[in-house]
Amino acid sequence: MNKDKVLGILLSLLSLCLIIVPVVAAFAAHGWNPIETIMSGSDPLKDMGDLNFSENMFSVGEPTQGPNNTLIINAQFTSPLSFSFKIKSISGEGYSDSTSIGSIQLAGEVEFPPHATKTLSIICTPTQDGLNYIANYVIQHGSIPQIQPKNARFTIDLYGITAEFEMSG
Amino acid sequence: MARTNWRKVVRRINWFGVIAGILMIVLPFAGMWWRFTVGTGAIDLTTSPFGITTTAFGQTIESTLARYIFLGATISIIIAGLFVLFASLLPEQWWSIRLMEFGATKVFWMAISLVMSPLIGAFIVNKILPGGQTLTIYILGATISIIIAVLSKYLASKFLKKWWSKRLMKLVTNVLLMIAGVFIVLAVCVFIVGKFLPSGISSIVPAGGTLNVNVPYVSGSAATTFSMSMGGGQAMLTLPISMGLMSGFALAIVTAVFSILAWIYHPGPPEEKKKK
Repeated sequence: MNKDKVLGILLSLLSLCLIIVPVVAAFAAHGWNPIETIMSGSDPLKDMGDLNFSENMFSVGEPTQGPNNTLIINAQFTSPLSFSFKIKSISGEGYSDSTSIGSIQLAGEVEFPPHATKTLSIICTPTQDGLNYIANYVIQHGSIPQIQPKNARFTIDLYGITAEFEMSG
Repeated sequence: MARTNWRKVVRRINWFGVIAGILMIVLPFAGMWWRFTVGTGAIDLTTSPFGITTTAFGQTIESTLARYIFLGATISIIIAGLFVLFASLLPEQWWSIRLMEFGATKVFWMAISLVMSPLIGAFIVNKILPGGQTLTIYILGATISIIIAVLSKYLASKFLKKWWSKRLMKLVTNVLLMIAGVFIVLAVCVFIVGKFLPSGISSIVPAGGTLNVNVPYVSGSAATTFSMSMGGGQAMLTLPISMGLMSGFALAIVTAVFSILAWIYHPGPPEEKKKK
Protein backbone atom coordinates (compact mmCIF):
# COMPACT_ATOMS: atom_id res chain seq x y z
CA MET A 1 0.00 0.00 0.00
CA ASN A 2 1.64 3.29 -1.02
CA LYS A 3 2.01 6.19 1.38
CA ASP A 4 -0.52 8.33 -0.50
CA LYS A 5 -3.25 5.73 0.10
CA VAL A 6 -2.24 5.37 3.75
CA LEU A 7 -2.49 9.13 4.17
CA GLY A 8 -5.92 9.06 2.51
CA ILE A 9 -7.13 6.38 4.94
CA LEU A 10 -5.73 8.27 7.93
CA LEU A 11 -7.45 11.48 6.84
CA SER A 12 -10.74 9.61 6.40
CA LEU A 13 -10.35 8.16 9.91
CA LEU A 14 -9.59 11.63 11.23
CA SER A 15 -12.82 12.97 9.68
CA LEU A 16 -14.77 10.08 11.19
CA CYS A 17 -13.23 10.62 14.62
CA LEU A 18 -14.04 14.33 14.55
CA ILE A 19 -17.70 13.40 14.04
CA ILE A 20 -18.04 10.41 16.37
CA VAL A 21 -15.81 11.41 19.30
CA PRO A 22 -17.73 14.60 20.25
CA VAL A 23 -21.05 12.73 20.22
CA VAL A 24 -19.65 9.90 22.35
CA ALA A 25 -17.99 12.37 24.73
CA ALA A 26 -21.24 14.32 25.14
CA PHE A 27 -23.21 11.20 26.01
CA ALA A 28 -20.45 9.93 28.31
CA ALA A 29 -20.43 13.28 30.15
CA HIS A 30 -24.09 12.72 31.15
CA GLY A 31 -23.94 9.02 31.92
CA TRP A 32 -25.51 8.06 28.56
CA ASN A 33 -28.77 9.76 29.46
CA PRO A 34 -30.08 11.06 26.12
CA ILE A 35 -32.44 13.68 27.58
CA GLU A 36 -29.81 15.11 29.91
CA THR A 37 -27.27 15.11 27.10
CA ILE A 38 -29.55 16.97 24.70
CA MET A 39 -31.25 19.34 27.14
CA SER A 40 -28.50 19.66 29.81
CA GLY A 41 -31.02 20.09 32.58
CA SER A 42 -32.73 23.09 31.03
CA ASP A 43 -36.49 22.83 30.85
CA PRO A 44 -37.79 25.90 29.05
CA LEU A 45 -41.45 25.20 29.80
CA LYS A 46 -40.78 24.71 33.50
CA ASP A 47 -38.62 27.83 33.61
CA MET A 48 -41.47 29.89 32.19
CA GLY A 49 -43.31 29.61 35.48
CA ASP A 50 -46.67 28.24 36.53
CA LEU A 51 -48.90 28.53 33.47
CA ASN A 52 -52.06 27.67 35.42
CA PHE A 53 -53.96 30.90 35.89
CA SER A 54 -56.23 30.85 38.93
CA GLU A 55 -58.81 33.25 40.31
CA ASN A 56 -56.52 34.02 43.27
CA MET A 57 -54.21 35.89 40.91
CA PHE A 58 -56.88 38.43 40.12
CA SER A 59 -58.85 40.72 42.43
CA VAL A 60 -61.15 43.59 41.53
CA GLY A 61 -61.57 46.61 43.78
CA GLU A 62 -64.63 48.78 44.33
CA PRO A 63 -65.28 51.33 41.59
CA THR A 64 -64.49 54.92 42.48
CA GLN A 65 -65.53 58.14 40.86
CA GLY A 66 -63.06 59.57 38.39
CA PRO A 67 -62.86 62.89 36.53
CA ASN A 68 -65.49 63.87 33.90
CA ASN A 69 -68.15 61.48 35.24
CA THR A 70 -66.02 58.41 34.69
CA LEU A 71 -65.59 55.44 36.99
CA ILE A 72 -62.22 53.96 37.83
CA ILE A 73 -61.97 50.28 38.64
CA ASN A 74 -58.64 49.11 40.02
CA ALA A 75 -57.90 45.44 39.51
CA GLN A 76 -54.85 43.68 40.91
CA PHE A 77 -53.19 40.91 38.97
CA THR A 78 -50.29 38.73 40.08
CA SER A 79 -48.26 37.29 37.22
CA PRO A 80 -47.36 33.59 37.61
CA LEU A 81 -44.83 33.85 34.80
CA SER A 82 -41.06 34.00 35.22
CA PHE A 83 -40.67 36.42 32.33
CA SER A 84 -42.01 39.90 31.75
CA PHE A 85 -44.96 40.76 29.56
CA LYS A 86 -47.21 43.75 28.85
CA ILE A 87 -50.94 44.16 28.94
CA LYS A 88 -51.27 46.66 26.11
CA SER A 89 -54.99 47.25 26.12
CA ILE A 90 -58.28 46.18 27.60
CA SER A 91 -61.50 47.44 26.09
CA GLY A 92 -65.13 46.49 26.00
CA GLU A 93 -68.48 47.31 27.53
CA GLY A 94 -69.29 47.69 31.20
CA TYR A 95 -72.49 46.19 32.56
CA SER A 96 -74.18 46.16 35.90
CA ASP A 97 -76.95 43.59 36.38
CA SER A 98 -77.58 43.28 32.62
CA THR A 99 -77.74 47.06 32.25
CA SER A 100 -75.22 48.62 29.91
CA ILE A 101 -73.30 51.35 31.68
CA GLY A 102 -70.81 52.40 29.00
CA SER A 103 -67.42 51.57 27.54
CA ILE A 104 -64.41 50.37 29.51
CA GLN A 105 -60.79 50.89 28.66
CA LEU A 106 -57.41 50.28 30.28
CA ALA A 107 -55.89 53.61 31.33
CA GLY A 108 -52.48 52.73 29.90
CA GLU A 109 -50.08 49.88 29.09
CA VAL A 110 -48.99 47.94 32.14
CA GLU A 111 -45.72 46.04 32.14
CA PHE A 112 -45.46 43.03 34.44
CA PRO A 113 -41.95 42.01 35.57
CA PRO A 114 -41.58 38.31 36.47
CA HIS A 115 -43.97 37.24 39.26
CA ALA A 116 -44.98 40.84 39.91
CA THR A 117 -48.30 42.16 41.21
CA LYS A 118 -49.56 45.24 39.45
CA THR A 119 -52.68 47.31 39.41
CA LEU A 120 -54.70 47.70 36.25
CA SER A 121 -56.70 50.94 36.19
CA ILE A 122 -59.76 50.45 34.03
CA ILE A 123 -61.76 53.53 33.14
CA CYS A 124 -65.48 53.18 32.56
CA THR A 125 -66.99 56.03 30.52
CA PRO A 126 -70.75 55.87 31.13
CA THR A 127 -73.36 56.82 28.60
CA GLN A 128 -76.17 59.14 29.69
CA ASP A 129 -78.35 56.11 30.49
CA GLY A 130 -75.45 54.62 32.37
CA LEU A 131 -75.04 57.77 34.44
CA ASN A 132 -78.73 57.75 35.28
CA TYR A 133 -78.50 54.10 36.35
CA ILE A 134 -75.50 54.81 38.57
CA ALA A 135 -77.18 57.81 40.15
CA ASN A 136 -80.29 55.76 41.00
CA TYR A 137 -78.13 52.94 42.33
CA VAL A 138 -76.18 55.25 44.58
CA ILE A 139 -79.39 56.69 45.97
CA GLN A 140 -80.83 53.22 46.62
CA HIS A 141 -77.72 51.39 47.86
CA GLY A 142 -75.38 54.13 48.97
CA SER A 143 -72.49 52.84 46.79
CA ILE A 144 -71.39 52.74 43.18
CA PRO A 145 -72.46 49.50 41.43
CA GLN A 146 -69.95 46.77 40.50
CA ILE A 147 -69.12 46.85 36.79
CA GLN A 148 -68.68 43.59 34.85
CA PRO A 149 -67.00 43.55 31.45
CA LYS A 150 -68.77 42.23 28.36
CA ASN A 151 -67.45 41.85 24.81
CA ALA A 152 -64.05 42.50 26.29
CA ARG A 153 -60.91 42.57 24.20
CA PHE A 154 -57.44 42.07 25.67
CA THR A 155 -54.13 42.60 23.94
CA ILE A 156 -51.03 41.15 25.55
CA ASP A 157 -47.46 41.47 24.37
CA LEU A 158 -44.97 38.75 25.26
CA TYR A 159 -41.56 39.71 23.96
CA GLY A 160 -43.06 40.98 20.71
CA ILE A 161 -45.58 38.15 20.30
CA THR A 162 -49.03 39.68 20.29
CA ALA A 163 -51.95 37.78 21.74
CA GLU A 164 -55.44 39.22 21.29
CA PHE A 165 -58.49 37.79 23.02
CA GLU A 166 -62.08 38.79 22.35
CA MET A 167 -64.70 37.54 24.76
CA SER A 168 -68.36 37.95 23.94
CA GLY A 169 -70.61 37.91 27.00
CA MET B 1 21.68 32.54 -6.47
CA ALA B 2 20.02 32.99 -3.12
CA ARG B 3 17.65 35.57 -4.64
CA THR B 4 16.73 33.17 -7.47
CA ASN B 5 16.08 30.39 -4.95
CA TRP B 6 13.95 32.74 -2.85
CA ARG B 7 11.97 33.78 -5.95
CA LYS B 8 11.44 30.13 -6.87
CA VAL B 9 10.14 29.38 -3.39
CA VAL B 10 7.78 32.38 -3.43
CA ARG B 11 6.47 31.46 -6.89
CA ARG B 12 5.76 27.88 -5.87
CA ILE B 13 3.71 28.86 -2.83
CA ASN B 14 -0.06 28.64 -3.30
CA TRP B 15 -0.90 32.11 -2.01
CA PHE B 16 -4.65 31.54 -2.24
CA GLY B 17 -4.14 28.58 0.07
CA VAL B 18 -2.02 30.56 2.53
CA ILE B 19 -4.76 33.18 2.85
CA ALA B 20 -7.45 30.50 2.99
CA GLY B 21 -5.58 28.53 5.66
CA ILE B 22 -5.20 31.57 7.91
CA LEU B 23 -8.84 32.58 7.42
CA MET B 24 -9.98 29.03 8.21
CA ILE B 25 -8.08 29.10 11.53
CA VAL B 26 -9.61 32.47 12.43
CA LEU B 27 -13.14 31.70 11.20
CA PRO B 28 -14.49 29.82 14.29
CA PHE B 29 -13.75 32.90 16.40
CA ALA B 30 -15.13 35.49 13.99
CA GLY B 31 -18.71 35.50 15.23
CA MET B 32 -22.03 33.97 14.37
CA TRP B 33 -23.34 33.47 10.84
CA TRP B 34 -27.14 33.53 11.09
CA ARG B 35 -29.84 34.83 13.40
CA PHE B 36 -33.42 33.69 13.95
CA THR B 37 -35.76 35.75 16.11
CA VAL B 38 -39.40 35.40 17.12
CA GLY B 39 -40.88 38.61 18.47
CA THR B 40 -38.41 40.85 20.28
CA GLY B 41 -36.52 38.12 22.09
CA ALA B 42 -39.28 35.55 22.69
CA ILE B 43 -36.95 33.20 20.87
CA ASP B 44 -33.51 34.38 19.90
CA LEU B 45 -31.14 32.01 18.17
CA THR B 46 -27.77 32.83 16.68
CA THR B 47 -25.68 30.12 15.12
CA SER B 48 -22.70 29.17 13.04
CA PRO B 49 -21.16 25.75 12.37
CA PHE B 50 -19.03 26.40 15.47
CA GLY B 51 -21.58 27.41 18.07
CA ILE B 52 -25.14 28.30 18.92
CA THR B 53 -26.78 30.54 21.49
CA THR B 54 -30.48 30.11 22.19
CA THR B 55 -32.71 32.05 24.54
CA ALA B 56 -36.44 31.69 25.01
CA PHE B 57 -38.37 34.26 27.06
CA GLY B 58 -35.16 35.37 28.73
CA GLN B 59 -34.03 31.83 29.63
CA THR B 60 -30.88 30.42 28.06
CA ILE B 61 -31.26 26.95 26.59
CA GLU B 62 -28.16 24.80 26.56
CA SER B 63 -27.29 21.42 25.19
CA THR B 64 -24.15 19.44 25.98
CA LEU B 65 -24.54 17.44 22.78
CA ALA B 66 -24.68 20.60 20.66
CA ARG B 67 -21.71 22.08 22.52
CA TYR B 68 -19.54 19.03 21.87
CA ILE B 69 -20.59 18.75 18.22
CA PHE B 70 -19.71 22.40 17.64
CA LEU B 71 -16.39 21.87 19.42
CA GLY B 72 -15.71 18.99 17.05
CA ALA B 73 -16.52 21.25 14.07
CA THR B 74 -14.19 23.96 15.42
CA ILE B 75 -11.31 21.53 15.85
CA SER B 76 -12.05 20.10 12.42
CA ILE B 77 -11.86 23.47 10.67
CA ILE B 78 -8.69 24.49 12.54
CA ILE B 79 -7.00 21.23 11.52
CA ALA B 80 -8.26 21.72 7.96
CA GLY B 81 -6.88 25.28 7.97
CA LEU B 82 -3.48 24.07 9.15
CA PHE B 83 -3.45 21.35 6.48
CA VAL B 84 -4.36 23.87 3.76
CA LEU B 85 -1.63 26.20 5.04
CA PHE B 86 1.07 23.48 5.07
CA ALA B 87 -0.01 22.19 1.66
CA SER B 88 0.11 25.72 0.26
CA LEU B 89 3.56 26.50 1.68
CA LEU B 90 5.01 23.19 0.45
CA PRO B 91 2.99 22.35 -2.65
CA GLU B 92 5.60 20.04 -4.10
CA GLN B 93 5.54 17.59 -1.25
CA TRP B 94 3.88 14.22 -1.95
CA TRP B 95 1.28 14.84 0.80
CA SER B 96 0.26 18.35 -0.26
CA ILE B 97 -2.60 17.33 -2.60
CA ARG B 98 -4.16 15.04 0.00
CA LEU B 99 -4.00 17.67 2.73
CA MET B 100 -5.38 20.30 0.37
CA GLU B 101 -8.27 18.02 -0.65
CA PHE B 102 -9.01 17.26 3.01
CA GLY B 103 -9.38 20.90 4.00
CA ALA B 104 -10.14 23.11 1.03
CA THR B 105 -13.85 22.54 0.50
CA LYS B 106 -14.94 22.30 4.15
CA VAL B 107 -15.88 25.96 4.56
CA PHE B 108 -17.62 25.96 1.17
CA TRP B 109 -19.90 23.09 2.25
CA MET B 110 -20.47 24.62 5.69
CA ALA B 111 -21.61 27.89 4.09
CA ILE B 112 -23.87 26.02 1.65
CA SER B 113 -25.36 23.96 4.51
CA LEU B 114 -26.04 27.04 6.59
CA VAL B 115 -27.91 28.73 3.75
CA MET B 116 -29.74 25.59 2.58
CA SER B 117 -31.00 24.54 6.03
CA PRO B 118 -33.26 27.56 6.75
CA LEU B 119 -34.17 27.72 3.06
CA ILE B 120 -35.39 24.13 3.03
CA GLY B 121 -37.02 24.56 6.45
CA ALA B 122 -38.91 27.66 5.34
CA PHE B 123 -39.95 25.99 2.08
CA ILE B 124 -41.29 22.97 3.96
CA VAL B 125 -43.19 25.18 6.42
CA ASN B 126 -44.55 27.65 3.84
CA LYS B 127 -45.27 25.38 0.87
CA ILE B 128 -45.33 21.70 1.88
CA LEU B 129 -47.00 21.70 5.33
CA PRO B 130 -50.13 23.53 4.07
CA GLY B 131 -50.58 20.54 1.72
CA GLY B 132 -51.59 20.35 -1.92
CA GLN B 133 -48.10 19.63 -3.29
CA THR B 134 -47.45 16.78 -5.72
CA LEU B 135 -44.40 14.55 -5.79
CA THR B 136 -43.85 14.89 -9.53
CA ILE B 137 -41.88 18.11 -9.59
CA TYR B 138 -39.52 17.01 -6.84
CA ILE B 139 -38.83 13.61 -8.34
CA LEU B 140 -38.28 15.31 -11.70
CA GLY B 141 -35.90 17.80 -10.10
CA ALA B 142 -33.89 15.05 -8.40
CA THR B 143 -33.73 13.00 -11.59
CA ILE B 144 -32.60 15.91 -13.75
CA SER B 145 -29.92 16.92 -11.21
CA ILE B 146 -28.54 13.38 -11.03
CA ILE B 147 -28.52 13.04 -14.84
CA ILE B 148 -26.68 16.35 -15.25
CA ALA B 149 -24.20 15.37 -12.52
CA VAL B 150 -23.46 11.99 -14.08
CA LEU B 151 -23.20 13.54 -17.55
CA SER B 152 -20.84 16.26 -16.30
CA LYS B 153 -18.63 13.69 -14.62
CA TYR B 154 -18.49 11.60 -17.79
CA LEU B 155 -17.80 14.56 -20.07
CA ALA B 156 -15.16 15.89 -17.67
CA SER B 157 -13.30 12.58 -17.66
CA LYS B 158 -13.46 12.46 -21.47
CA PHE B 159 -12.62 16.01 -22.48
CA LEU B 160 -11.09 17.97 -19.64
CA LYS B 161 -7.30 17.78 -19.54
CA LYS B 162 -6.16 20.51 -17.16
CA TRP B 163 -6.08 19.51 -13.48
CA TRP B 164 -7.79 22.71 -12.41
CA SER B 165 -10.73 22.15 -14.78
CA LYS B 166 -11.13 18.57 -13.51
CA ARG B 167 -11.27 19.83 -9.93
CA LEU B 168 -13.75 22.56 -10.81
CA MET B 169 -15.97 20.02 -12.57
CA LYS B 170 -15.73 17.71 -9.51
CA LEU B 171 -17.04 20.57 -7.36
CA VAL B 172 -19.85 21.32 -9.81
CA THR B 173 -20.81 17.62 -9.87
CA ASN B 174 -20.94 17.51 -6.07
CA VAL B 175 -23.13 20.62 -5.98
CA LEU B 176 -25.52 19.03 -8.49
CA LEU B 177 -25.67 15.88 -6.36
CA MET B 178 -26.42 18.04 -3.32
CA ILE B 179 -29.28 19.70 -5.25
CA ALA B 180 -30.58 16.25 -6.12
CA GLY B 181 -30.42 15.37 -2.42
CA VAL B 182 -32.45 18.45 -1.55
CA PHE B 183 -35.14 17.48 -4.06
CA ILE B 184 -35.23 13.98 -2.56
CA VAL B 185 -35.62 15.40 0.98
CA LEU B 186 -38.46 17.64 -0.22
CA ALA B 187 -40.10 14.71 -2.00
CA VAL B 188 -39.97 12.67 1.22
CA CYS B 189 -41.56 15.58 3.14
CA VAL B 190 -44.33 15.88 0.54
CA PHE B 191 -44.93 12.14 0.81
CA ILE B 192 -45.09 12.21 4.64
CA VAL B 193 -47.39 15.25 4.73
CA GLY B 194 -49.58 13.68 2.04
CA LYS B 195 -49.84 10.46 4.05
CA PHE B 196 -50.37 11.82 7.58
CA LEU B 197 -51.85 15.27 6.94
CA PRO B 198 -53.87 14.92 3.71
CA SER B 199 -55.44 18.36 4.17
CA GLY B 200 -52.19 19.91 5.28
CA ILE B 201 -51.35 21.44 8.62
CA SER B 202 -54.81 23.05 8.88
CA SER B 203 -56.18 19.58 9.70
CA ILE B 204 -54.50 19.68 13.13
CA VAL B 205 -55.87 23.10 13.94
CA PRO B 206 -59.00 22.87 16.15
CA ALA B 207 -62.35 23.53 14.48
CA GLY B 208 -62.97 27.22 13.99
CA GLY B 209 -59.27 27.97 13.95
CA THR B 210 -57.03 29.18 11.16
CA LEU B 211 -53.28 28.96 10.89
CA ASN B 212 -51.51 31.24 8.46
CA VAL B 213 -47.88 30.21 8.36
CA ASN B 214 -45.44 32.63 6.86
CA VAL B 215 -41.72 32.20 7.50
CA PRO B 216 -39.01 34.18 5.71
CA TYR B 217 -36.42 32.44 3.53
CA VAL B 218 -32.92 32.71 5.10
CA SER B 219 -33.19 36.49 5.55
CA GLY B 220 -36.13 38.83 6.08
CA SER B 221 -39.24 39.29 8.20
CA ALA B 222 -42.68 37.75 8.14
CA ALA B 223 -45.51 36.99 10.54
CA THR B 224 -47.31 33.77 11.34
CA THR B 225 -50.81 34.10 12.75
CA PHE B 226 -53.02 31.63 14.50
CA SER B 227 -56.61 32.37 15.37
CA MET B 228 -59.32 30.27 16.90
CA SER B 229 -62.78 30.56 18.38
CA MET B 230 -63.16 29.50 21.98
CA GLY B 231 -66.25 29.51 24.14
CA GLY B 232 -68.02 32.39 22.45
CA GLY B 233 -64.83 34.37 22.04
CA GLN B 234 -61.94 34.62 19.65
CA ALA B 235 -58.19 34.43 20.22
CA MET B 236 -55.48 35.47 17.80
CA LEU B 237 -51.75 35.01 18.16
CA THR B 238 -49.31 36.91 15.94
CA LEU B 239 -45.70 35.76 15.83
CA PRO B 240 -43.31 38.13 14.03
CA ILE B 241 -40.40 36.09 12.70
CA SER B 242 -37.17 37.54 11.39
CA MET B 243 -33.98 35.96 10.11
CA GLY B 244 -30.74 37.34 8.81
CA LEU B 245 -27.18 36.56 7.91
CA MET B 246 -24.51 38.03 10.18
CA SER B 247 -20.99 39.34 9.71
CA GLY B 248 -19.37 35.95 10.38
CA PHE B 249 -21.04 34.64 7.23
CA ALA B 250 -19.38 37.32 5.10
CA LEU B 251 -15.98 36.13 6.31
CA ALA B 252 -17.04 32.54 5.63
CA ILE B 253 -17.82 33.43 2.01
CA VAL B 254 -14.43 35.11 1.57
CA THR B 255 -12.76 32.06 3.16
CA ALA B 256 -14.72 29.67 0.94
CA VAL B 257 -13.78 31.60 -2.21
CA PHE B 258 -10.07 31.60 -1.33
CA SER B 259 -10.08 27.94 -0.32
CA ILE B 260 -11.84 26.86 -3.53
CA LEU B 261 -9.40 28.92 -5.58
CA ALA B 262 -6.55 27.37 -3.60
CA TRP B 263 -7.82 23.88 -4.31
CA ILE B 264 -8.44 24.48 -8.01
CA TYR B 265 -5.12 26.27 -8.45
CA HIS B 266 -3.03 23.92 -6.28
CA PRO B 267 -0.32 22.50 -8.54
CA GLY B 268 0.71 19.51 -6.45
CA PRO B 269 4.00 17.59 -6.82
CA PRO B 270 5.87 17.80 -10.19
CA GLU B 271 4.94 14.14 -11.12
CA GLU B 272 1.27 15.08 -10.72
CA LYS B 273 1.71 18.09 -12.99
CA LYS B 274 3.35 15.92 -15.67
CA LYS B 275 0.57 13.31 -15.37
CA LYS B 276 -2.13 15.94 -15.77
